[in-house]
Amino acid sequence: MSNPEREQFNPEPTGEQYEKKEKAPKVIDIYGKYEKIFQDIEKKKQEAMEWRNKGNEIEREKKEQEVTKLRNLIHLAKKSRQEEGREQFGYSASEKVIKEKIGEILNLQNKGNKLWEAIPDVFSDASNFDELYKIINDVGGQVHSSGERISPEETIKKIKGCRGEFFHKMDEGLKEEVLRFFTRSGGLKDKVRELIEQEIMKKTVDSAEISETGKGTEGAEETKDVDSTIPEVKQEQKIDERAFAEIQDEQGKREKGIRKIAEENRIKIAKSLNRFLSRWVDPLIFAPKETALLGLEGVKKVAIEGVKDLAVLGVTVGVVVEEPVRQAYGYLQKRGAEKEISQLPEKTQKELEKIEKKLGEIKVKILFKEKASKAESNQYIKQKLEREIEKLRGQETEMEDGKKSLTGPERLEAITNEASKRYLAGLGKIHKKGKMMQLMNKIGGFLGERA
Amino acid sequence: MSIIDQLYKLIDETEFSERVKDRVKELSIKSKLNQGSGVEESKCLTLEEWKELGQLIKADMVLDTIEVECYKACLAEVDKAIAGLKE
Repeated sequence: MSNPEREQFNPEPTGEQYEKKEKAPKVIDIYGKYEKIFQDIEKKKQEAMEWRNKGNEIEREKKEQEVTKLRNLIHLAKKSRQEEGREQFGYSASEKVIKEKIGEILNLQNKGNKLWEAIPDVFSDASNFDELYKIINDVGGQVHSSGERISPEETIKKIKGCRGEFFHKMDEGLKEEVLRFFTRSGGLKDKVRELIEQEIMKKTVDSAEISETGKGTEGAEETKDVDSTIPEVKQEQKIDERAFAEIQDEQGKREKGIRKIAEENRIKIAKSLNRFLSRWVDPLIFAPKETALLGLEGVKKVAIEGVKDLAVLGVTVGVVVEEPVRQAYGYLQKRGAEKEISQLPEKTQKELEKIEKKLGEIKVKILFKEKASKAESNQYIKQKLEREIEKLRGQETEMEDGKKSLTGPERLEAITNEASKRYLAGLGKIHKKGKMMQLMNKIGGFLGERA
Repeated sequence: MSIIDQLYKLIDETEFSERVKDRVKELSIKSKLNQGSGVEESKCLTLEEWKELGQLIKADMVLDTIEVECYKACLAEVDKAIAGLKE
């Protein structure tokens, strides 16, 4: 938009003046910023005036003085702008003045915010969270009675935290504790509570309506999940669910395909399955004394019982996800496993160092050291072995040379189905725990604030 | 119900390992004892304890990931075997 005042004092320069004009964009930038602040001040002034109309008599005079000061400053600022214009290209000379004025105006703007926050029920117009967020942004966050200013981003983040499922399950006392983060001034705290309660009520009603109209469990589940109303959580969930559905589909195809091929290729399967089992099961049988490499069962045991109760000495798995590897290693260190790690062979220690340095590699080794004695470990391996061999014995297939293989296509199908089932269940568990962690992080944030 | 009790309830519903459950239970008992000595309910859990719990849960997730990666690798082996049969 053109500015007649500025144009009036800015005739087309020539020569030296033209060179000086090169600096003009900076002045214009400052003008741009200046004008925005000016508009903000006008807005605050308007709001202050509105407050004055509503506000209480005791504070009125004081506020009027502030408004007068504000008006005077605006007048000064205008004057300064005119003077700046008259100087035409005297950027350096006026820069200081403009900056000072901007500083003063900004200070006043902060006061203006406080002034606005002092208005009773400034947040009461918000009828939903979006409107509330907008007001918080306009007001510039919140100011506690201690004078501590909290940014709009932080305030909105905390509100989002309160909209989570975990918060809804808290009792009144704890809710109150968490809501202490929000100031009472302007009615923010009450508004947050009110909107949360409305949201819970709406979810309950919606979910009841869905069950009545029989729209299906999936829809009902989604509506009950209050956390999914938070845009980023909803988005994340959508992605997770899509990925999960794709994996499920893939698994379905795999299982179907195996059944057909299995019947047609009985002997071939027995052969390849033998090779396959030699990688996943045989390590249990031929494991060296102290560094037994576990197959599925061992990994499952690690997963279920954790490092503490692990009755075997080592696990080798292909791990693609880098962050969990770092965490696993960090976790071992935290548990005081450094001593145990230092007792490992030098080669193994180097491998562990590699994990720390070069994360995210496919096929990294994670070694868990345990406290069980060698005898206990061997006993455990022996028992595992016996059970595994017992299972395999019932499923022999006659090979081309007349010998019998310990395995057959049924076994392949059974292993695939079992692995597929556990794979999906594992993904489901990670998904649930991930959500749990999100909730914990939110509450942790509140605890941090309190501390 | 205190924050730790509620957490215990949620964790119980989400298939966490015994190690996590044990620690939460331990903290729950400690918190009850504290309450008995007049400590405010909301201060039943320190930030450090909360962080420790977070670490344990993360470790749980790491182990889940290892399990999943293992099954994934197993299924990849099956795929390889099947591909071999088709040749």
